[in-house]
Amino acid sequence: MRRIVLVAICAAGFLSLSAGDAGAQTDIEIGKTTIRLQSPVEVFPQKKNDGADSGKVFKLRMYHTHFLRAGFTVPVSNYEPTPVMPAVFGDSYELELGVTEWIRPVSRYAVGFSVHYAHREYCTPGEFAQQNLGRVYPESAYIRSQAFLTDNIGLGIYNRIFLSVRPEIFVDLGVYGDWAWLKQFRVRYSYNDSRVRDRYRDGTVFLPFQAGVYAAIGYQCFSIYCRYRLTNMFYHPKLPFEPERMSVGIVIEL
Amino acid sequence: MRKAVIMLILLGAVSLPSAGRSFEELMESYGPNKGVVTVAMSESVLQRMAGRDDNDLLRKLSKLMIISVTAPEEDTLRNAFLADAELYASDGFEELYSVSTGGSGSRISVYLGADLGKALMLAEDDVSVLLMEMKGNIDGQMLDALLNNEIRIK
Repeated sequence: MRRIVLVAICAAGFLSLSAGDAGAQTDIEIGKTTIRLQSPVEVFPQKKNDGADSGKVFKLRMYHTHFLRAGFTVPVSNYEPTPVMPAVFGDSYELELGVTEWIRPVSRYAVGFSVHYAHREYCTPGEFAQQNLGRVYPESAYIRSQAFLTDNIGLGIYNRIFLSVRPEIFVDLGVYGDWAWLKQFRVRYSYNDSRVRDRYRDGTVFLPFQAGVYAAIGYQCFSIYCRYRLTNMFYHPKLPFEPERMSVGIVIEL
Repeated sequence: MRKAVIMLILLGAVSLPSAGRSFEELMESYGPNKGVVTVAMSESVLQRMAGRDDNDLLRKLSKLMIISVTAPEEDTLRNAFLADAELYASDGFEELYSVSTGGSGSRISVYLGADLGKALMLAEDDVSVLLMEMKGNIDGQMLDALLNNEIRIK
């Protein structure tokens, strides 16, 4: 039954093609080879120039990919009046896991819609929490680490331009938006031979919605990406600092 | 009785030119006419193309022959060729499938030789009639290709 349906579809496809080609030259395709009935007869592989000249029409494709992004915060020049929150660059990172649904109307372009989970962590040195968030710790406490971290779910829209189809070399340009369900400033310190973890959460200081722009250049399933956040993470009247906006990393997409 | 015999002889004489005609004879008969394109490819050419394009389907073929008649539906040459093509297909071939659409008058029929040594494709629309014969090893892969639109006329 499946085969019969397939035949009907294939044959209908043939009929629609042949009906619209009134007066046009006839091509016969046998697998990868096309025989063009003209004088003299021309025989050429179907994949010539990625199919662009063979008369083969690219059919709209929809498919999805899963991705893992891992990146580090990088410093950029600050043109804002608000100072940048000092960062420990090797320790400030982000991890993203998600799925993208791609719609590819032509061979050289696709548009993608993604859903992702993201964990972002901005480590800062010194006594940021005591000086700016009013946290009080014992005098003999040793601050081991402090970081602002968020856990988010988000959406993204991406344009993918294929510089080469085989192998796939592409450029991604897009925007993303995140909603953080967890926003906290975490301080780890040692005190009297014990290790203490202080979590400071304040919805009036840490803002939940974030958005930014995204660019990547990729080869097959690997990409290098760069992300720039356009929105503020902190409510500046209460906390006049802003974590670094740019991050760079790699993407594995399967 | 005599009249019946004469009629039978006349009928046989009329139908003799088309009944039992080979594809090569059809090519010789229709090839010189205006609007007709005939193609015949030998095994060596097919194997060379198969090697160049890494084409497993072509590797199975030992001969490929095509007759294409470009003419409107009321054309006598077209109608004669279509009748001969259908007659040829009915002799030693089993119809694999046939699909037609009423609006455009398009139709495609695919036939399989009884000995699995050849396959035939007959396609017609409002501007042309095309008959293609493939000789060789028409095995499961070739059958799948015929069914999956990997062998098609555009």
